[in-house]
Formats: sequence, C-alpha cells, structure tokens
Amino acid sequence: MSGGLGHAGLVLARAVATMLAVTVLVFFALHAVPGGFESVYLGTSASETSHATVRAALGLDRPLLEQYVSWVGGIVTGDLGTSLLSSRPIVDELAVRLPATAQLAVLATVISVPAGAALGIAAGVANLRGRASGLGRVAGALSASVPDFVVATVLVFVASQAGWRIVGSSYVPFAEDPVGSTVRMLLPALSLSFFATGIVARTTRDAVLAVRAEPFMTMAIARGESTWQIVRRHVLRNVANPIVTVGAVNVGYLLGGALIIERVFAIPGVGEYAVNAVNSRDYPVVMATVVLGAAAFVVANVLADLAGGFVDPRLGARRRAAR
Amino acid sequence: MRRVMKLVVSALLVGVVTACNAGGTSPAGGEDGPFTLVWGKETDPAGINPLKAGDIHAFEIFSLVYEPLTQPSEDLDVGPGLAETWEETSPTTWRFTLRDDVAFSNGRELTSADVVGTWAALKELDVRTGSFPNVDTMTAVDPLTFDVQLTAPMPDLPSRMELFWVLPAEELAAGTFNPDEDLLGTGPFVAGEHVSGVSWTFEANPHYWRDDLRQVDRVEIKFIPDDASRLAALRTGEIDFTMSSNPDVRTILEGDPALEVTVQETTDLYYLSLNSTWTGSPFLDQRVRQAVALAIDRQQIIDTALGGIGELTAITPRAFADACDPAGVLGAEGRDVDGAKALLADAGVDELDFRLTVVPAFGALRGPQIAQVIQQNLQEIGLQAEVGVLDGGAWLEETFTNGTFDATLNWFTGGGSTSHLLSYMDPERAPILAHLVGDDPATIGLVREALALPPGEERAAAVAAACENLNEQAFFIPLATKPTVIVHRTDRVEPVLNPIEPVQMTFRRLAEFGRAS
Repeated sequence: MSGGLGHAGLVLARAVATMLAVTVLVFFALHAVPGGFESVYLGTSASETSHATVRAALGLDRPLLEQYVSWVGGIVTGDLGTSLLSSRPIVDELAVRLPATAQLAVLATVISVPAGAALGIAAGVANLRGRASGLGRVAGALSASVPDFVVATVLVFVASQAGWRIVGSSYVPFAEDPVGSTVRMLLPALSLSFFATGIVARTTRDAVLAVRAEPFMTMAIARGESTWQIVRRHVLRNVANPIVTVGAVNVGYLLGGALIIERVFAIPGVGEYAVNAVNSRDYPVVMATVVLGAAAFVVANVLADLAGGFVDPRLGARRRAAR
Repeated sequence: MRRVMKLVVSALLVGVVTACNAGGTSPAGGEDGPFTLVWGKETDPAGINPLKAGDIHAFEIFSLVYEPLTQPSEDLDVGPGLAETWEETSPTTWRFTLRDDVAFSNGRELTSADVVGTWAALKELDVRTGSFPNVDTMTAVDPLTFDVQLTAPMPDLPSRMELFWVLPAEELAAGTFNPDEDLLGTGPFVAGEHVSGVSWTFEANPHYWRDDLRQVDRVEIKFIPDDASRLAALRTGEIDFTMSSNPDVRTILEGDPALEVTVQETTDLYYLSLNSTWTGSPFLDQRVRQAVALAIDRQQIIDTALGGIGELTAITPRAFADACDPAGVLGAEGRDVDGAKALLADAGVDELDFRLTVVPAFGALRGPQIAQVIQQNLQEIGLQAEVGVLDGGAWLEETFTNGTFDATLNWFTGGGSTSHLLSYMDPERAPILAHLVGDDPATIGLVREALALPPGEERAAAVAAACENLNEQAFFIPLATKPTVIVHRTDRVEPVLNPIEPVQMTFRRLAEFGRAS
C-alpha cells in the first residue's frame, strides 16, 4: 500500500514539476514576442504617452520576474487573474468556453478510441496478407496524413450541400440541451477524431501483432478457441495498456487540434479563446489556457500511468519487484 | 442480430440528420412578423469603446448603435449626420449645428455638450485624436451649436467628422455609462444579449430619429470566423448575409440562385512600403525603390491574388474628383523589367535579399497572396523577397515603434476625401507612420501645400504635384483598391448598400435592409 502511495507521490511530483516548467517557458517566451498588449489594444493611432499609461495601469511595466511571481501567487490561491482585454475574471470566461472544448475532446475520444481499437484489432487479427489487414493499413495511413482542417472543411461543405444546419446554429451547452448539443458537436468531433483514430488503430495493430507471436496464442488456437474467444480472452487484455497510453497521449493532440476545429465550426471554445488571446497579447488569458492545457495533458498521463497497473496487473507486479 | 444492429444504426442516422435540419433559427422572420436579420460576422470585436477601438470589427458594431456628426452620401459628398449644417467661420474655426430631433436610446435629447464632452474624453485618452488632425478645442455655443477651433486650417474637417461618433457625455461624466462595457448611442439599434464569441442581438432603438427609414426590427449576429463556414451557413439559410474575403467567391457560388454576390467599392487600397528612413534598410537608394515599383505586375495582383476584384489606384483614392491619375504610378501602365534592371545596375545592385512582411490580422487577408506575386515579379530583376507573415503585435512593434523593417505590405482606409491618405504622408500630422512613408522634405512640402487648400481646381493641381513627387520617391507604392464583397440570400433580404464606402462601415444602412420580395 505504501509502495503504491509512493509511486503516486512520485507521479504527482513529476506532474507539478512539468507544469511549473511549462509556465516558466511560456511566460517568458510570450513576453519576448515583439508587440505588447498596449500596442495591439490601442492600435496604430495612440501616442507613446497612452502606451505608457496603459502599461502602468495594468502593471505591465513591472520587472518580468515580479510579474511571474505575482501570477504564480494567484494561481496557487486559485486566482487565474483578469483578462486585460475584457476586464472580466478569466475564470468566468473559461466557465463559458471550457465545457465546449471538453465536450469536443471527450466526444472525439469516445469516437477515436473504440473505432481505432476496432480497426487495429481487425487489421492485426486478420491474415497479414488479407484484405482486412490491407484496408486497416490504408485507413491508418490516410487518417494519419490528412490534416484536421481538410477533413473539417470537407465535412462543412458536405453538410452545407446536404442542407444540414451545423455551422450557423449557435453552440448550445450540453447542460441545456444534451441531444441538440451532441448533434451540433458530432461533425466537429468526427473531424477531430480522424487523426487520433489512425494513431490508435496503428498502435493497436502493432500490439496485436506482437501478441500473435506469443506462445499462449498458439496454445489457444490448438485448444480450438474461436477467433472471438481469442480476441476477448487474450488479445484485448494484452493490448488494453497500449490503447490507454496512446489515448492519454492523444489528449494533447486533441486539445491542439481543437484550435482549428473550433474555428472552422464556430465553436466558442478555449482554443479560439487562446488564439485570440495570443494575437491580442492578453497575457493572463494565454497563461490560464496554457496551464489548463498542460494540466489536462499531465492529468491524462498520470491517470494512464495509474490505470496501467489496473489494466495490466503484470505492470504493477513489475513496479513492486523493482522496488 | 445483424438486422437489429442495422436498424439501430439507421435510426440513429435518421435522428442525427433530422436534428441537424431542425437546428438553427429561422432567419428574416415571417412575412408579417418582426423583421429579423441574421448577420454572419467574422469576429467579435476586441473592444467596443468608440473612444479607443479602431478596427473594422468594432466599426461595424458602432454603426448599429452610434452615429457620427457627418455621413458620406452615395457619391462620396459629405452629407449631414447628427450635424445638420456646418460652416467655416474663419480659417481655423468651424461652426456645426446639430439636428434638433435626436435623442439617445435612453430617451435623453442630444445636445452640443455631448459633442464637446466626447471630444474631451477623446483628448484625455489620446488614442483616436490622430483621426482629427489640427483639432484643438471644441466649445458649445448653445444647446445645438458648437465651434471647432483648429491649430491650422483644415478644409476637409467635415469629412473627418464621418468618424466622430457622439457619446452621451452627461452619463459618461456621471459614471452611469461605461463605454468599455456598454453601448449607448443615438443609432437605430440598442445592444441586447451578447454571448462572447458566439452571438450578439440588437433590438430596435425606440427613440431613433429616423424611424421612418428603418425596416429591420432586430439584428442577430452570429460570429463565424472561418470564411468557408460562413458561406456554408449562408447556403443552408442559417444566416442572411455576410462578407467574404475569398477571391473565388463568385465562382464558388455560381449557379446557386439563392445567393448573390455584391462588390462594394471603397476608397481603401493595398500598398507596399519600402523603408527609406532606417539605415539598415536595403531601400535607402531611390533607384532601387523605383526598380521595385517598375517590376511589380499590378494587373497580375488584381487578377490572381484578388480574384479580379480590385482596380489600379494612385495614392489618393480614384473615387474623388481631385484624385491623382493611377497611370502616374511607376509601372502602373505595364511592367518595365528592363527599366528596373537598368536602375538596379545604375545603383550598383546585382542581387538583393530582403524581408517583406504582411499582417493579415489587421484585415489584409489577401496580403500573403499579393506578397507572393510581388516575390515572383521581383525575382526577375534579381531581388529575393522572403515573405514573413506577422501577427498584429509583432508588426506594430517592428513597423511603427522601431521602424526596423525592409518592406511591408498592408492596406489603408481611404477616408472621405483625398486629404485623408495624403495627410498620412506628412510625418508631423501622422508621426506614428513616419517610418512607413519616408521623410523627404520636398515631398512633405508639396503634401502640406495640397492639404492646406480647399477642394477645387487649385487643390487638384497641388494634389497632382504631390502625387507625382510621391510616385518618383517610390517609398509608398499603391498596388490596388480593396473593395468589399458581400454575399446575401436573395430569398430573405434586399440589402441597401452605398455604391462606395469611405470608412469601412459597409453596413451603415443596415437598418434600411428590406425583406426579399
């Protein structure tokens, strides 16, 4: 038990250190980019005096280190700060946008993991020279090489030709209308899941091929088990861990891909919010979205790490033996 | 089992399609009900304060709620807005008289104190005062009359007032109105529910003074950033009208009888600035700048980068009677590659690498494509341009604050008279643009001479002399006009647009849009 807690502590410490490093990197890189908030905010006509006034009023004239320490102090107490542009608390603005992005990422995961796993298993279990294996490889390569925005643009075109009202129908939060909201998100989630499905499929296929070479598979075939029984009893158990791992890694990709998908489908999510914040040099908003993204990525990986022991008991046993 | 699965999947698909078709609003309302317009707009403005914000997205919102002192007529003459009449009482004083039937949307009548108070607030912030050069003070004469005192003669002051939105100064001073958060004007609409980045609703202003002209009862704005997605929403009837930056929009929508593309002329223009003031610039030599001007194929820019939507232009927008002849721009009547090579040889330049920056974030959406044409054109004379696409902040820092750029491509609002863009060529009037437009004393002298004259033949001659000099200097090279493309559903709405727009307020007559017959 104490060993398990020790492992969890180590994972947690690693996660906090990662997040801290990300914030340092992004904070100082962001301030090194030419053009401050006041330039973008005041535009081309403002005088130098106006620029200085705005900088002083917002505390942007303080030393960078002081600004960073002050920002970290706020984060530690749960205060994400205030948007320079809108003067509204960032937490309020995120409360409106975060559900949309979360819904998009979750729906994309719900589509990509089962679909990718099914494709991968089908391709792996089938005869290597068979049609299913070839199709699986082609589907995997296709999904991994076609960019999200191409898929999204094609889907928008198809939807408009078919008369489906998707883009102009304002986003409805899931809590207000679960069915309508899910339907509105279906095409965006499909676009976003396209690449992720390919990655899951390829990883799964490789894992299945590795399992096929194990002696217990020969035994199972010799025992006369059916294909479905082999998949359920032997293949699924052994490939579950790689699927969980790649699913966690995909969280980072899904959050990044959401930037483009949200724009194409006019979804008021965190991605569009972050892009606008970078363009307008709204530093606190950029930092808040970075922390959020990093936290989501780190948490997903921590959960995948912890879940690994449950999904595949051999991993837990190896960790215990190593200690 | 398989049959059951097929049935379940089919039912799900039918459900999804039905739900998709049921989604969205019904634009334009019924035939007899209130007339609601649904506008697919590119983006939510970053700021809504007319004392500060100066981008096109904000201007479009302002035109729904606020009104300026003067308005351009259909043929670009200066017409009455909130000010009914004006006269030049001395070379440095103008007297304006306001209409007597105007009230803000809270019911309070507009007075000259509001104009004076708005000017005081503008001066205090000092962000947009550059739009009103030479204006020193404003004083109220009586409740409907005010004087504008200038530091130097300004014959075009009335056209400058097309961008002077009047705010409720009494409420501003009392602190009951915060222009950063609220919209309170004399215009046709009042702001309603606003979901940031998603939608914004505007209802009819019950105190609007031109209620007889207003056809629209309600405006619903949907923010759809992607151009192709806006066209898709238009096709499915989720929005009634939008603007497009796609140069192929006419081809794309050809054959769809429900959609009509309208090109509105503007006084705006794309330009290329070659830095003639920074010591690190490769364009300090006038001959090198002239070679660039001669080598650019403007017609290719219009035909390919702009999809045929645009025209040749001089530094002063061609729509004005006293504008310069576009043919006077070096290379405008056809490229002269040999001439360009000869100029480079004369300057001792065999090869030259430089950086050409563009900034689509400020509305030059076709900037990268124009830059690519220029890049190809200049290769023929041995100049290698590396195209750099910058975001707004980085571009402002490099171009305006530091002035450390080689060449940059962007666009300018043409304004309501020839003096608008010409005044940009005088670093004293527009100090922030100093790096962009050079500092040749002879040019500045000619520009000032033209700006000091009232409209007429004498000024036209002075403007032509200034243009000739600017063309020879070749640090600011006009490329093409920048019209606006509007797409609307013919079965929903009949848009009312001025044939030409000087200050980016394409939908200034949105309240007059009619139902489709």
